[in-house]
Amino acid sequence: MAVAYGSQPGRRGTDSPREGEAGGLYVTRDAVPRRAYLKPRKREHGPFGCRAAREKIVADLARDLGVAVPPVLLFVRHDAPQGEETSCCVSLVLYGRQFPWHQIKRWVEDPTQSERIMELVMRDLPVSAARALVLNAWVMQSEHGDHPHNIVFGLDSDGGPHFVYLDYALALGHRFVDDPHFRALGWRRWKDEEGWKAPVTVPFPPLMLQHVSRSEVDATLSRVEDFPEGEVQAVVGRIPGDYLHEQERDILIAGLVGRRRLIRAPLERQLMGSGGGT
Amino acid sequence: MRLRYQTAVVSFCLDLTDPRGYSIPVGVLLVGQSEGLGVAAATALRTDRLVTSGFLDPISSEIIGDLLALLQAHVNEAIQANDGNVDVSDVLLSLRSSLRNSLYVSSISPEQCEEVADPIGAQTFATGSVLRVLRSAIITSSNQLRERAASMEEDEAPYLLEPPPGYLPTASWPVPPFGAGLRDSHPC
Ligand SMILES: Nc1ncnc2c1ncn2[C@@H]1O[C@H](COP(=O)(O)OP(=O)(O)OP(=O)(O)O)[C@@H](O)[C@H]1O
Ligand SMILES: Nc1ncnc2c1ncn2[C@@H]1O[C@H](COP(=O)(O)OP(=O)(O)OP(=O)(O)O)[C@@H](O)[C@H]1O
Ligand SMILES: [Mg+2]
Ligand SMILES: [Mg+2]
Repeated sequence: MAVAYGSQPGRRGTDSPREGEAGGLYVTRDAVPRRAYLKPRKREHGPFGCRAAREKIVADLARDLGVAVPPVLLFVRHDAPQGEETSCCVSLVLYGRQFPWHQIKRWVEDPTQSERIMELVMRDLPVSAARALVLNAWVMQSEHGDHPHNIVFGLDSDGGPHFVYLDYALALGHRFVDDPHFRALGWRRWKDEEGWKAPVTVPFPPLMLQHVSRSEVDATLSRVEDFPEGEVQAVVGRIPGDYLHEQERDILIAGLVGRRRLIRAPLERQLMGSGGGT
Repeated sequence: MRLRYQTAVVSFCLDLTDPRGYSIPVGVLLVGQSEGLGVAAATALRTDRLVTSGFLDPISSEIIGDLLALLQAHVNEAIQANDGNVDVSDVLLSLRSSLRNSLYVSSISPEQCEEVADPIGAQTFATGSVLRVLRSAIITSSNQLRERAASMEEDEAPYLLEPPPGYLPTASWPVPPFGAGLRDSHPC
């Protein structure tokens, strides 16, 4: 598949090599005149990274559950520069206008700034955040604390509001959670001694937590609890071997199947502490 | 004193899903430093006409309307968070990382130098520069759009000629001296 790089909005042709510090960049192709985000660029050594596979698996599960994670396709980057990752993925840009959470949250913080905008933002937030929170608990997403831009807010062509939840490259028990900060909170790599059993609380923007719809949390939790084991096996099992090491594949299936019924109690505790919500 | 500086142009993409979609330059940030001196300046387009012409939704217009404050906060935080241990390019590249959706950094200039008399001279120069850079980015973008508009219905062609004087509010502000120590010796 031919891809034009450096399709930063409004930009053509090759881009500065510093584009997308942590590794990604916007791309497009002639056959599909849409914009997508390609990642990772940084290569990770050893069999347990599998960042593109994690993105793809979570996006597919999200689709089944009705969580607003954009569709992800695996993409082999045959023309990757020396030393960069070739087992990549692309995440589709869904909406014409999008703003990162750090630019949007002020209207949730202080509704008096503009009631009209607050109303627009809140039309989507309680339900979409409830669903994302439950997905995050299931897949152990470490990256949605008050991160400035891993959650974005989009407007479709009719002006309809949609939050979009991004960046699952380090979910599903990636070695990233060996970081002392996460270890201290009880997080473990899924690979280590059934680390997926850890009853962790996933980080989530506190302002969103205050407004999540409790009934939607409950409904989504039930969908996870009843999620067919065969569907987990299908979603994980169809990832090609060069994207997902066999040993890691079995761990992800065991973790996802096993965690389905482990997340209700930690989530309920987390929501109890956050106040608000309906 | 010799001021080393770089500028970044911030643009607004009218449709992020469309790789061929329009972008319009909406602001410019300059960050510069000299021995014992830091300076920053920014300018941003007023969005009134884009809103009244129905081109911008209310959220986009609020966000562009807040761009001066956003740029100011970004510079101050980028310098403080690193105890001043950053270079001019670090401040602009981190801006690029933080603006990657509808509002994004469309270009960053190479490093340039300017001889200035004193800190006031540095600020005057910086304010003048951001205005010049934004005007020139707007003219370039308008020319490109005009070329494309030739093949378009008139009401599809979105943008605007150069904004009239007074349409570009600016701010310039001193920042604490900063610099990452050793760096390439740039030939200017
Ligand atoms: N599908 C998408 N739709 C809209 N924006 C996207 C999409 N994918 C990526 N982005 C934008 O690009 C940014 C980087 O993507 P992502 O967070 O997935 O990668 P990353 O490797 O963590 O990069 P970084 O650390 O530089 O943020 C996002 O924060 C978002 O602004
Ligand atoms: N295999 C790993 N083991 C330990 N730490 C890691 C590993 N991979 C990445 N990290 C660290 O995790 C963080 C997030 O990794 P990533 O490559 O997604 O960076 P990032 O995209 O810049 O983060 P963010 O999306 O939060 O902006 C980085 O600080 C990185 O140094
Ligand atoms: Mg990210
Ligand atoms: Mg990341």
